[in-house]
Amino acid sequence: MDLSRKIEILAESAKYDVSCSSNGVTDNSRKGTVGSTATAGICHSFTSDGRCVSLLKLLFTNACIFDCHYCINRKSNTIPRATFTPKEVADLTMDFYMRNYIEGLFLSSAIIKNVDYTSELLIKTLKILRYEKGFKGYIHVKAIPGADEKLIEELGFLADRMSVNVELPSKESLKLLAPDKDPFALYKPMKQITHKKKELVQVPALKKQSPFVPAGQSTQMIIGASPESDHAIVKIAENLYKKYELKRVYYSAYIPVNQDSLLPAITTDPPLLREHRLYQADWLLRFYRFSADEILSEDKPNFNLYLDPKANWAVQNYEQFPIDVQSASYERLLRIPGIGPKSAQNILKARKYYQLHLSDLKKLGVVIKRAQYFISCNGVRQPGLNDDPEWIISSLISSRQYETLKKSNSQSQQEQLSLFDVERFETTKRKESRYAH
Amino acid sequence: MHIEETTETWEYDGSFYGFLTIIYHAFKKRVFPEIIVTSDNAIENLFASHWIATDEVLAQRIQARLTERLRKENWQFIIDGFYCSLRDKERCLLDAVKISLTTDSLLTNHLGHPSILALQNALNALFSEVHALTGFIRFEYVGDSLYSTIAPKHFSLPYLCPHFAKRYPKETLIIYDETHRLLGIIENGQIKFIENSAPPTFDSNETEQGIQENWRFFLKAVTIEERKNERAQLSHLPKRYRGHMVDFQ
Repeated sequence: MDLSRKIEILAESAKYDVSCSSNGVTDNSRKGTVGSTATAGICHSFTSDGRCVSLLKLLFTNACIFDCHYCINRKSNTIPRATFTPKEVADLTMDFYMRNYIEGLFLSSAIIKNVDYTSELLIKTLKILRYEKGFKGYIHVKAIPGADEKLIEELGFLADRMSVNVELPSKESLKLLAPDKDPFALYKPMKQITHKKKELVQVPALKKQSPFVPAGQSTQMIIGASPESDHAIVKIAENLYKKYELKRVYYSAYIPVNQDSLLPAITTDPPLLREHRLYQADWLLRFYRFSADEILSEDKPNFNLYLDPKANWAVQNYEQFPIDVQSASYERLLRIPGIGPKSAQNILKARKYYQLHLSDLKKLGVVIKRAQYFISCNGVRQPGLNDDPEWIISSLISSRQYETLKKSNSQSQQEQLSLFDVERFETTKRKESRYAH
Repeated sequence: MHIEETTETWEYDGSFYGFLTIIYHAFKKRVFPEIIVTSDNAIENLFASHWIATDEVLAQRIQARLTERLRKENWQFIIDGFYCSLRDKERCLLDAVKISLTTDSLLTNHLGHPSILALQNALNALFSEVHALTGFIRFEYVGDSLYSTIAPKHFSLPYLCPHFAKRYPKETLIIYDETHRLLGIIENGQIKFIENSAPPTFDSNETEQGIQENWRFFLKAVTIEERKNERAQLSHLPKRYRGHMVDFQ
């Protein structure tokens, strides 16, 4: 089989892995003769699905011995199979890297023969890159659950980022849909890497050999293949960030690739809007100092598909607004819809020496269209506003937006209505309680 | 420091030394003009302008003086500001010089001043183009050196070269900026520029085409058809970058 055909098959098989970031290495102390890493990562291209291409994302092989129901590469599927050699992957990486097509390599693999053998092949590839080619660029490699701890550690010293995909958010779903995987073995490499990293922090800098997973770990969950609620998923993500100090949790809307009675029908659209809401919630966890229970709760476990989680929170907690931008703390500013970390920092800088006016905010990066309902500036509010939460909700969703959201919403009609009604019901309830006092 | 704001129009040759000469005159006479034009855009201006001739000796003196007087970050802000694409950057930069002479705090903390805000936004545009190009530049081997052509909107090439000098420390790289007719040459990590250069020409070779072909195979294979979203692609990777990318050929 020629190389281009292998690239086609093994990139195609790797495409459902979301992660493609090349960020997180702050101080590249690796030895080598070519390559660099950027702290914020660099996107090298964008495919027509709007996803960033930063790394050469490949499966070492797609000839898998497992039969996970949701996976395109399950052994019972009749798809073309291919396997690289370590040298082929290393040469291809260098060819692309020298021409600035990529930031580095993302190497994953199906399980060939057994988990240890697969890990050894990955190690061999990375060794060629690091030692023979002198490559200092970014490498993201999959930790194969169940592989020997020594092999995982060896990979950790060669790679910049490692990941184990959780794939399904609960043990029950895992048992059902990934019968060959051991749910307990899944978290083991994650734990091992976190521990090893902590252990190495104690070692004085001079004695350090090469860096160990300097860009940390990430993971991925498939959304919509199993019945977990949004609240459960956000909770798991929060836990992973806290417990294992993960750098990123990715969510991937399930695209039905296999005909299977346990899974959504092959004609189902991927739940892209739900995935989008999960990413928004994820951002709230990581950059906006929200907790999972503030975003969703046991009795309201799913996202309002028509309102983003931050605006939703703001409307539900409307008594905390308006927030005055001249005096509010950074944390408070972050709670305002339409203000993000960047514009909040700009506000802090701008108000240091000058009085702010409502008209300045736009230039500082604030999205006035959203923020106007929630802010005041030195006591002044935008004229013509109404304090009725229901009115605010309808103003936040323009009719055009509503139409597009309805189109990209893949939930059933019934669910849609109930979600919107819950919102209406709650706001009317609050309105009434205000009159009661 | 009191400075009189006048309605005068000043004109200069558009060079950095020319601008330093303007700084000298503005602070010497303690007057700021309302408009500063360069010989390139003077025609658009209706009012008679007062010509400021570039004086290299004066310029070097003022440069040494400002390097000494201003906080390092602020002086860098002003230098970068000179190379950004803001229309009336010279006038805004005079304000920036004035503010940084009176305070030791960072200019970026003065976003409340309209000139600083305008400069900051123009700098963001410049730096975000530089960042985008660090990813979107495509090289090909011509003999032993790596060659690339770009068509940036802003004066990005000088800010781009250090990144590639670090990335390929042992290679010879040549980057040609079509817009500004500027040729950047990086050799063993050393950077130099040739101004007013014509585009270099050469023939493409077969190995390169094979690798470019493989790259396009790869891009096609990682695309998920069910998620097609060309609008997102367009906003992340605007059309103006695509002309020189092998991805789209």
